[in-house]
Amino acid sequence: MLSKNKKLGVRGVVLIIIATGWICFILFFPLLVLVWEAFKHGIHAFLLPLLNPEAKHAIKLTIIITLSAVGINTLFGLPLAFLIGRYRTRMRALIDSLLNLPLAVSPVVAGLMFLLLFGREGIFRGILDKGGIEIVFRLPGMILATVFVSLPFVVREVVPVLEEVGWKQEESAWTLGAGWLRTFFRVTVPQIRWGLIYGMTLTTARAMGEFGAVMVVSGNIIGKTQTATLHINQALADFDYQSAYSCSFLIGFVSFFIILIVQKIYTRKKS
Amino acid sequence: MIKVQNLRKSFGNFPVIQDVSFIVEEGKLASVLGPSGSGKSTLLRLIAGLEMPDSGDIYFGDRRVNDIPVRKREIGFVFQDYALFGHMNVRDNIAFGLNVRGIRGKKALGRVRELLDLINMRDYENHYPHQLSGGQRQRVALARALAPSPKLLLLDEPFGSLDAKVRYNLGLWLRKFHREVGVTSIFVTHDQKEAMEISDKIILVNRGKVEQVGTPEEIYNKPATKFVASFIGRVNVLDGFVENGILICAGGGFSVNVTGDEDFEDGEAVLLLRPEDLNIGDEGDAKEGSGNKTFFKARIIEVRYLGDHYEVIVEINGIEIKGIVSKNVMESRKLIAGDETIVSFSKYIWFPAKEGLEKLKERLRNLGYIE
Repeated sequence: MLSKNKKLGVRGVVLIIIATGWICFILFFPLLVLVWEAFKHGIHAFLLPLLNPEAKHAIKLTIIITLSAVGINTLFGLPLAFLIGRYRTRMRALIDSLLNLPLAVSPVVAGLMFLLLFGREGIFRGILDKGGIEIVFRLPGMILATVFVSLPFVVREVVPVLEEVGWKQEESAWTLGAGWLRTFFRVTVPQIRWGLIYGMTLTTARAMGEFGAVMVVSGNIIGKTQTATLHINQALADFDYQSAYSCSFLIGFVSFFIILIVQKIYTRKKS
Repeated sequence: MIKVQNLRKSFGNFPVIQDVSFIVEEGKLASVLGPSGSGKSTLLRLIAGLEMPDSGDIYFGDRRVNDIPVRKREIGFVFQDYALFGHMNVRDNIAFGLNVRGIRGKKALGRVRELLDLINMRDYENHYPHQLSGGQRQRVALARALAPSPKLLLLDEPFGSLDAKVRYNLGLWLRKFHREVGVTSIFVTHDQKEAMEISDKIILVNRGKVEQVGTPEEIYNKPATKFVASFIGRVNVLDGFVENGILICAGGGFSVNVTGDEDFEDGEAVLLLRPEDLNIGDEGDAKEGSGNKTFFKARIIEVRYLGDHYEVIVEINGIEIKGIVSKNVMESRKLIAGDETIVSFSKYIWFPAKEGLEKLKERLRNLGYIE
């Protein structure tokens, strides 16, 4: 297949050198340094900080929060995607703008928002006190904050798929005698499969790497409300560099792995 | 038999179908023909049950189906695009309607293969839609629609996205297919040639109303309205004025007798002349004198060879008219651009220009029938 791209000449080679050099400097090199620092003192030294109680707790929290965020955003995101992608509604513009909010707002601000809603002086204080529910400085608040910052991805990935085909396939299924349930599982779900998976993967990556919002809404309590990212931050503050590097490498590696999968899925989705 | 009575449908304030009624007899292939925006697709969707009419009735035989949901109407529907289930192969697509009715396994496979033979695609059983050409996809869509043996087949511009040659061949194939299978079918199209070629009956619609219902011959030779006359076939449109039973064209260029069977006062009118009804250069007739035919002196302006016939443009007293001349006739008469010749009309249609000449011409221009 002929590419539209031109053949490389001298100017092309120079361009390559500049581009590669830049990528190496800004991406590759820092990551290499991180890896080197993490393993500088050997595998045992690398693993040790990850086994202490705070680290283990932090990693566990990150896993719980990430899974929750993905689950919640998918559960609520799908119906929303359907509303936008398949039904005529004048609210479309409004919903689109609202969906972009989590990306535009600084995560720190997002965390603050939740503090205001559910905190000591918050609006919902009355209801929460009655029910004996605590949101901020605890897991629920951290989950909420993470849900907020990773909200748009599932919706944004599924909507175009739904829009592109429209109702035609479902209508075909109905004319062939299929009812609602069969049509949904055999016709609709397969259509959105890859878009949905891609959206969920992006949500995972974003949720895992969240820092600012979670820090504000959790109170950053050591051993209780510190996620992996907050734990790294704590380690730096305590000058415990090995701990910081080890945890960073762990998160970094998982993120990298996720991004790799995302790329593969993306190519699959496009075909 | 399908009967549609007084159907009305509006989307919001916009009336798309306005009091439409017609019948399609059992086993016939009927076309709903009309320009874009005439409401023809909506009409089909109403019959299918994909839309609900605001008022009016739809009968399949003597059963009123208004309240029956689409999946229970026992119809087959072929869409223009994105018809097939992209994530299923050809076999599973065709088997879908059978699976819904609990027919699976060997029995379903047998029926699927039967249909694959019918559409001549036996070797494509395991292919996926994205591996097929447009024509192949539509054939599979047809097989899929027919698998559960529907009582009515509905096709919504099924060949719309295909190129001309494929369209033509598929059209012929559909015609032959219908002869063999015999299920009552309604076919929606904007292509009048296609409708003429394959239908038993044409239902011409325009702006949500039925303009005429009839066989291709009736529609072509006895158009009920000027819309019908100008929509079907190529036609010369000439402004004129009727006075005392004579239609005078464009400032006296020439005139023809018009005997109105409607009460029409003298006024603006439109003369529609089909290119094949223009008789060019037949001097023999002129000398012998032949009854009612009027003859005009004309000058040949252009002669164009189009493969299976010639297109000849003549000018009568300043008015240009397009005509068609077959190869045989051209051979015997040898018409050359620049020559003087005699011209007569073997047939013509005229209509009072009720909506104004300019409006009619605007519409014809939009449809591409005149420049």
